[in-house]
Amino acid sequence: MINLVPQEHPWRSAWHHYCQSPFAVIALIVCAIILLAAAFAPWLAPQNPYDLNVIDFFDSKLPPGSRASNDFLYVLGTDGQGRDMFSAMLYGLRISLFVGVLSGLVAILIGMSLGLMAAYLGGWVDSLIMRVVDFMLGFPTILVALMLLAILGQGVDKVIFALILVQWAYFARAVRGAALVERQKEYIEAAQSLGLSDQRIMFGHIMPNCLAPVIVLGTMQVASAISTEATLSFLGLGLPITEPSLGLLISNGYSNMLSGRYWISVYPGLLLLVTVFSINVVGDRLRDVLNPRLSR
Amino acid sequence: MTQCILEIRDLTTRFETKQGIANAVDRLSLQIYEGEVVGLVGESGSGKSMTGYSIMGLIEPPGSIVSGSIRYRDQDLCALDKDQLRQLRGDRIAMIFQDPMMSLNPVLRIDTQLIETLKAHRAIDKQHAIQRATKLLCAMGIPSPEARLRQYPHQLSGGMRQRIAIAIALLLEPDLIIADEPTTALDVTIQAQIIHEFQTLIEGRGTSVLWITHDLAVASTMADRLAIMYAGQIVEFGPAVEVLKTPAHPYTAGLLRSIPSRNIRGKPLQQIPGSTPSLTHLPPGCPFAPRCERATSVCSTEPPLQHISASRSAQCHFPWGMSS
Repeated sequence: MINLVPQEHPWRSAWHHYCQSPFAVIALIVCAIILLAAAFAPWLAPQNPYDLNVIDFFDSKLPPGSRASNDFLYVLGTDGQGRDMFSAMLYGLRISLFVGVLSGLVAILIGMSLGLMAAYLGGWVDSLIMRVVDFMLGFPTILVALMLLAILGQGVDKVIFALILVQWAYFARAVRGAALVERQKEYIEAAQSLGLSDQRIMFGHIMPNCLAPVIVLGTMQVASAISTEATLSFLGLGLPITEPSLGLLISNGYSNMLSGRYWISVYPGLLLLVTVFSINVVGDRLRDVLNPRLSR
Repeated sequence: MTQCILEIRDLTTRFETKQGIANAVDRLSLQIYEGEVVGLVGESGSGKSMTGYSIMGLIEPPGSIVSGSIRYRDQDLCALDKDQLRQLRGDRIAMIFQDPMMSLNPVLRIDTQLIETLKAHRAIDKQHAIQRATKLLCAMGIPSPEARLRQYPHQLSGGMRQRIAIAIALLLEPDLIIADEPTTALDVTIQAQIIHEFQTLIEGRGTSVLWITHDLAVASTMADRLAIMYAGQIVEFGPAVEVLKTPAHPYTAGLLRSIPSRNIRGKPLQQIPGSTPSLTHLPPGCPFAPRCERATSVCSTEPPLQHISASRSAQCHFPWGMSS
């Protein structure tokens, strides 16, 4: 006999479940603060680190808490070019998040469409798409990205392109798996029997039901994209020096580490750590909440 | 004579499984006329749902329709291409599924699901679509339909959901509805209400229905004519009243005897001995012979389709009611 009692909306009950872990809620709040700080960096940063007029080269490598000749307080010190570290980090965070989130979103879009097509159409379409996915997943992410950037050169657009290319296959595989399960369900037969088009069934009916694994994977992948970008930038293959991301800031300060000027690398490093860590905690919690096998 | 809406001739739907080849539907022939309700009755695994799925073109690998024809008016459904079939589905032929928990998309609002069905077949704007949906929900006995339309399936009870599934099927006023055990998952009082509302609606529109069920009681209240299915074949066919009163096939007789209310209190429940045969390993000849009390050695040969009267037939060597 079926359950005749109306239930709570699945997303709302997932939210309640999420909030049962205070740690995950804190991580979510941290994520929100980081996102807001990145979005409003130009308004929050005390100095525009791109504006050469306000940067005083004589203030370079000052320790945290120093004051400039014009009484400007460098809360977290300055880097090798005399930029305020705090401002540079906010701008760096902005670029890191922009690259991570944008490449993640595009990869989701591509991966989800291909995964849905593979699952719904089956046959040779499925085989073709999944062989390409297997091929892509066969290479280490960082290797593919490194090779691509070595060919393409530096630039925000190129880094985003490289990150999309190494990420989409994960989404295609996850979505295909979820869509294959959904495809067997009766509401898909019902939709077919109503004469709806394939596109409508794929994107209007199956896709919304596959969002849970995509959200979980997407969160994790954004964190991984941010750290991949940082790695690439650290290695000098990522973003150009004129648009410093967190990875590039770490890289810039790396040579000063041994001379005791730790702040140039350590603070951007800490910010990167907190960002990736809190996104991962949120993703982990989402997986616990949205995984039907683990649900109450 | 009223017009024939659907004519199935020698339909065979085959599943090729690891255990062997199974004919889920085996040389089945059936006619459905305008405005009539045909009850398709059988046990689980007798192929009644697969008959419905074959008509709707929903058979998927490893299954396929290997022979026979399904004619809807003057079109052969098996010969139509994907687009032509899609135009018919939902518009002229609609289907209602067994489990209302499963047949509505859980993440889409009720109005979305109703409107997209209308829009798939008609050039209609949203406002008119909602008006039409509201009217139909009213007719299906759904209180405050405007509020229901804005809800998600999980906010509704099973009975409400099945009412909505029926409303979606009736939305475009199809000629034929395939109802695949639509009330089996509901409790008895709701079942009775829904059957009543459904009957009123189809009588008003003259819709033909293929009512698939394992419940003879439901079939007897709904159907004008009954087709009894066993192992992929229709073993008995005829007007519902006559089939239930004087069954011709031993299987029909056995089914009727095993209805609990017909049994006498204090005596053990009568049942058909044995169990349904595996479709991959059917006995030769009549598939019911091993369980049949009337079977003789003749029954290991293919039973003929015998006409008991002008409107009744049975696929059996020894049907009751034959004037010999």
